Amino acid sequence: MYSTDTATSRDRKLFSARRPGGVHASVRSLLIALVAAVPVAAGSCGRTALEPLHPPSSKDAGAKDAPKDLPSDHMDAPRDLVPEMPMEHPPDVRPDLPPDMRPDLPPACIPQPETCNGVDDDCDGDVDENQPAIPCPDGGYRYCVGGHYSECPKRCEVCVPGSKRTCITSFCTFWGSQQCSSDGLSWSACKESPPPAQCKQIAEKMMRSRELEDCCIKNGYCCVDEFDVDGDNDRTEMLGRCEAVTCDP
Amino acid sequence: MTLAVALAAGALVPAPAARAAQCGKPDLVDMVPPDLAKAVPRNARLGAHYMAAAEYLGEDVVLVHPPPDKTEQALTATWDSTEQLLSVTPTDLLDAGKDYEIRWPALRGLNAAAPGLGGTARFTTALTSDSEAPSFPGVTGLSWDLVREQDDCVDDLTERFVFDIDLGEAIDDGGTDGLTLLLFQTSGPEVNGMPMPLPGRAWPGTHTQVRLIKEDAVGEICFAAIVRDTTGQISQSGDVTACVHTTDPPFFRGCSVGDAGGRPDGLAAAMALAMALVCLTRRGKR
Repeated sequence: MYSTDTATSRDRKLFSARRPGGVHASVRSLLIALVAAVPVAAGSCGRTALEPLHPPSSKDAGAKDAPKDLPSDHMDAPRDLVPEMPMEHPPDVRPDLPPDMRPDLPPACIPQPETCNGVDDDCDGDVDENQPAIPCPDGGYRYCVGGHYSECPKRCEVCVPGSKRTCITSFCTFWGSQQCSSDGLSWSACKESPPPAQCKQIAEKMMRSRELEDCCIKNGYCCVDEFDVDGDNDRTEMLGRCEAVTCDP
Repeated sequence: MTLAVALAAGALVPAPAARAAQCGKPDLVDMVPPDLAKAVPRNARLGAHYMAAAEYLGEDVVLVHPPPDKTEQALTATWDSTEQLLSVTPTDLLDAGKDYEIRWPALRGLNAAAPGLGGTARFTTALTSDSEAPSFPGVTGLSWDLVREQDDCVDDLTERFVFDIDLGEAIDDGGTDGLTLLLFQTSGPEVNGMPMPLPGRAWPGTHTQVRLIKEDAVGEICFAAIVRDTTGQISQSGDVTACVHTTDPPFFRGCSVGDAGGRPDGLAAAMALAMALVCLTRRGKR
């Protein structure tokens, strides 16, 4: 894998040779290489300090526009002393054309009514300015942000902080609860607890079951819809009495 | 005043020590304008944000008029449950250059029997009204980190991505005390085109924090911000976004000699010994 593994026998000999003074040949080679490399590096460093073969001014001043037939004695002349010469342009650069017809320039902005799309529609240099806030049905507003209208605000992200919901466990009591975090961003794990009296028999008889979730909902709890009782394929939502739990208005 | 300052400081991210006490409590979070605000526009709409668990049941919001009368006036309040904002519009223009006081009620909680904390803001009015929309350059910087903290609501560790957001300087003819910051997550795994609004809060200055769960926070995450003044006018900063790329834990922090040396089985020493043996063996063959 390493370079020494692929080296030839001659290379190995070089690496294993020892000088009388006791300095290993590989160390010596390394020193030689370093000694050789330092001037090269220094030279390369020094070269950056040398005058370039083509003075920077030739590029900065637009060398492509310099006349090719300029007399050689003018090449070193200051720019302001160069006599007026006809300019040559690439075929797609036509300064004689109006800006909106020149192919070398970006297409001209055609003013249109500003909309929330992340584009300067009215060509005034501002993007999505003066877009009205849209009232939401349950309160709050939608604002034009990042080229799109935002969603309507909600009371919280996942759940009302400190609220509880009922979950159905896989063992023992088959009943439990989850607590919403203090920032309303997540639920705790389902912690087992005894089922209420109304659902105790169902828990004992049916265990973890759709019937137990039905009992949970019917008795006024906010219950995780683990058995998709409402048939909407969402088994993470909550059903039942969840006004104090859900973030939706 | 102490309460107001503490509440304002914890606008978006409550202090860890206070978090336990806030589990489900419907406390007041901040006030717009805040306590001791100066130059509040005469036409200002006054508001207060509450925690997400708060429920408004028609409690009085009392405006105390300037001395010497100090008349107490109960105002009709509007409750926006999506922003958890209780707001009032004084029936007449506020008197110019006068000292007012507004008392925000303690609200009941959706899941708590005891009411939370209310607040009082004393403020001085300006000589003029607010007429111009605020000017705000938007989000200017963004960095992130991952924290694991004990959450006493769930009695467990919670993992949150914390985004430190730098904000440009906001300017408004009604002063910055009357501004509300509206933050939006414009890019992320759960953002499908429409930016996600984050809770509106009183203007926090030039820095704020946002916490997101992992499902919302891994990948290309962008935020934008606008500010709203007391008359409801908003800044034109919604097109300015700041982005950062986050990664899912565990994080690789690179190798270190200290770690190798700390291995109880002495693996590093054994490897060094093995390498030395290999070298000796090779030399012997030559």
